[in-house]
Amino acid sequence: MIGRPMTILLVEDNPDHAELVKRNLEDFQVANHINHVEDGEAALDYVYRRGTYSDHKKFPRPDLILLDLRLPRIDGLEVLKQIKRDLTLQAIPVVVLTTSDAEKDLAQAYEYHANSYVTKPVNFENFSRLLRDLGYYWLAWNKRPW
Amino acid sequence: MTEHIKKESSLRSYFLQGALVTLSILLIVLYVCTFSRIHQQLGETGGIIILVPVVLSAWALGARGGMLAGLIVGFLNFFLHGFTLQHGSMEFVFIVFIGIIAIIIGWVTGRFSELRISSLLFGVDSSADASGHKVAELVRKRTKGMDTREQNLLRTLIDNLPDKVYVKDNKGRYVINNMAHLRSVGLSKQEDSLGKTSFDFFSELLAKKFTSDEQNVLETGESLINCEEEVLDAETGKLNWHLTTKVPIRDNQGKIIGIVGVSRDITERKLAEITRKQAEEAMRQSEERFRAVVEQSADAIYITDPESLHIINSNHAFQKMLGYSPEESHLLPIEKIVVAPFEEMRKSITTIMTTRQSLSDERRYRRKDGSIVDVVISANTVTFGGKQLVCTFARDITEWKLLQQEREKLLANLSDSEHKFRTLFENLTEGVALQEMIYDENGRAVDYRILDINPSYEKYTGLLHKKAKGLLASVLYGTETPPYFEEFERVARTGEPYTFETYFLPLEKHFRIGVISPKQGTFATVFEDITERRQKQKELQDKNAELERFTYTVSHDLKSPLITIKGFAGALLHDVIAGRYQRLESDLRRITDAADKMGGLLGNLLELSRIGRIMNPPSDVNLAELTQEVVGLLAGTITEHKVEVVIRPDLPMVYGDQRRLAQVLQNLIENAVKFMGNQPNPRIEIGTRKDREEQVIYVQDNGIGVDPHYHETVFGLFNKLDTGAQGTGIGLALVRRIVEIHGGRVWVESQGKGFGATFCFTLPTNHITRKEHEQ
Repeated sequence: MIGRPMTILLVEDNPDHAELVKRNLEDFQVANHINHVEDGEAALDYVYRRGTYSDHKKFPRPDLILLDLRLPRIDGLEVLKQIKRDLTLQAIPVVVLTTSDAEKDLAQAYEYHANSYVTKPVNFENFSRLLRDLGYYWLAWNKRPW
Repeated sequence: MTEHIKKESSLRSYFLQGALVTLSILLIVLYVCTFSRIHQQLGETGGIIILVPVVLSAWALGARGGMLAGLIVGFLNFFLHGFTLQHGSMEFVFIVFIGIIAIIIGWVTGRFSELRISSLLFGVDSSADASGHKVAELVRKRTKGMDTREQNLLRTLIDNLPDKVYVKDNKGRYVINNMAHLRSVGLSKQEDSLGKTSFDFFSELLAKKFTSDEQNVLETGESLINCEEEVLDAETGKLNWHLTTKVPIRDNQGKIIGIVGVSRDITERKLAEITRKQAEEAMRQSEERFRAVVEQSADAIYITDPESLHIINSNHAFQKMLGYSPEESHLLPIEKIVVAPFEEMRKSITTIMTTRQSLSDERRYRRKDGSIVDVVISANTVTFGGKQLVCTFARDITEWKLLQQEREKLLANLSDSEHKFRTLFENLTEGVALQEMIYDENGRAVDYRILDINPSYEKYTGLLHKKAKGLLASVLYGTETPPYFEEFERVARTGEPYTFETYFLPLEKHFRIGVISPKQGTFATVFEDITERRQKQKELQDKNAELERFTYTVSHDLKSPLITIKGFAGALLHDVIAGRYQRLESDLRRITDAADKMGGLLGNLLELSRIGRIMNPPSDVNLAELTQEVVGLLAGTITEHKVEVVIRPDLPMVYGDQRRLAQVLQNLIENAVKFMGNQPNPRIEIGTRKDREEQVIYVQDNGIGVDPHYHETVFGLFNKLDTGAQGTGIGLALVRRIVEIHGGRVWVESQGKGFGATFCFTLPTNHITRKEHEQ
């Protein structure tokens, strides 16, 4: 099941949230690498290996993208749209992980072919369990073509 | 009169003849008795004396008498010389010569005498014709007694008579004609008529009639008096009428020897008579026709005697209308039929009689059975048998009256509904305009004309009724294609009502326009000024958007620090339980910071929600002064960042909430200072410019600038372009909120990173110009 290192791209503008996500994922040891970017622009740079993210070794193609919606510069939905429109990137599972439970965001995210949409639970226990489940599901249970 | 002159002249003529003959005989006797002495004294030439009685008797007896006298005297003279004369002697020849001379002188003198007498009477040598001799003789005899003057007078008189006078012998031959008669038969000379009869001048039929008439006179001796004859006039070639009298002429023995005819031309009189007869006939026929028309007329016609006020004549329609028989209607007093006071009736009759002008009016008539009939009358005077009467035409208008009443009722209803409609039209709060389509010669709609507009229309558009009415829309609105032409044309054509909402730029107003077509080619537009509603709608939309943003904020941005707090608190708890303390301090700080941030957010949200809800009363704001104040407030930060601030002096006066406007300026300036980046010569300029008609106020910096991508998002609530930048992301959202509440717009102009940014906003014209208006 675990044959090669798994990479998660975490797109999250709030450093505290990013820290919480990273800590939980690390606790469950589902991923080898968690690469964190703080805005949409950086996320796109990462997937397209532009600028500072051109180093393939350091910034490998993510096996899962955890995407916040409210992002500076380029909105999370815009990032989602661009990834899912790109034939080389669209297979990467993108899980929208956001505080927003606005209908509009939810509908928009699925319209742009988000693979999953989850809201950050306020409760810490739930937060931990969600991230553990997410990790297991997408990185362990879920079959990928590559 | 002619008769009288003839008689007198005859008498005189006999006397003269007798005297002359007697004198001649006496002279001859004297000559015979004194012959020897005369012969002794005068010789043979004494015989010449004997010519004197010849002359005298010839004068008296005419040519024949004269010749006889000459012969007698000649023989007498021969005998007196006895047989003393030898044949062939000078004496013998002389005596014979004297005899012959006597005969010649006798004839000549007699002829002369005859001519003189005849011509005295008629200008005719009556002796020229042997058959007329007797008559001529008679005439000559009868005029013998006249002296020359009388004869002249008589001749002139007869010749100049307009009547035709002629004398015929007993064979019907003309003997004497006066000039008028000569002319009428186409002759000019007396001689030409001699020996001619009626058959020479007139048609056979006529001539026969004349001849038979004359024969009758000749045979019976009775005069033909005043007989009318139709004669063709040879002179004029026209058919004339003559009034002829033919009188027999008798000789001394009372034997009828001829006739005298006098014909008078009565053609003119006759023609006048014929004309009169024809006119009378025409009159009679016309009267008959008129009578028929009157009788058959559907209108009642009657004639009133203005004195007795009785109806003296009426037609069938009159009798039928009022139910009287012809007998009853004769001499019917008009008061019986006219329903009006007697005096009034008499007065109107008098008016007609005096003014001679026709009177038309409505009257009520009473039938024989007492029922009433409404009539319209027309009365005028007529002359009837030399008397002035009043002729009245009356038409039964009972039915017409009923129809009229119906019509009036209908009209009243109609005008009532018209009135209702009008009132509605005038008082509708909606603007209403009635228009008609104008089509070109191909039947294509090209324009429309304003027929009527109501006061609300005037109010909304500012176009006055008197100016707009009848005007073409293209002219009225000053556009090539009249406003909403396509829509209106469709409704006018199809008749299907249509309603639409539109922004009418020339008036800067939103309208909701309903179009209906009452009939093909015309249409009414009912419109409502929905500008206010639109504004309200927009405000509502803005409010909704704001609410949404707020919800979003609550769901995302406020939840975010909560997640942090609870997350790290949970993690902390785990660590503590597990006895791990190395992350304790940092986790606690994260918790505290998140709580602070939450507090800040809540404060900002509160502030934002206050805008719009709580506004200060608007006033005139001097933007230049306000900017100075704001810059003063921010002096600390500005100095700290070493920013040069330039305030343009031409900043306008505006009308609005001074405190909020100060907030706008403060946020923009703070923002500019905050995003100066590494600019070595930071500079901020606050000024104004005119963009088309808009007064734009700007805050320009030479800082890091804004990527065109984010020109819109920078104004979003809590949208921060830079996670690391200070601030809550509420500043520009606040600016937008305030400007929008003032009715303006806000935007950023920047070519991108490193080019600096210019934040611009407008305040609508009325906010700027109201001040000017008030002044």
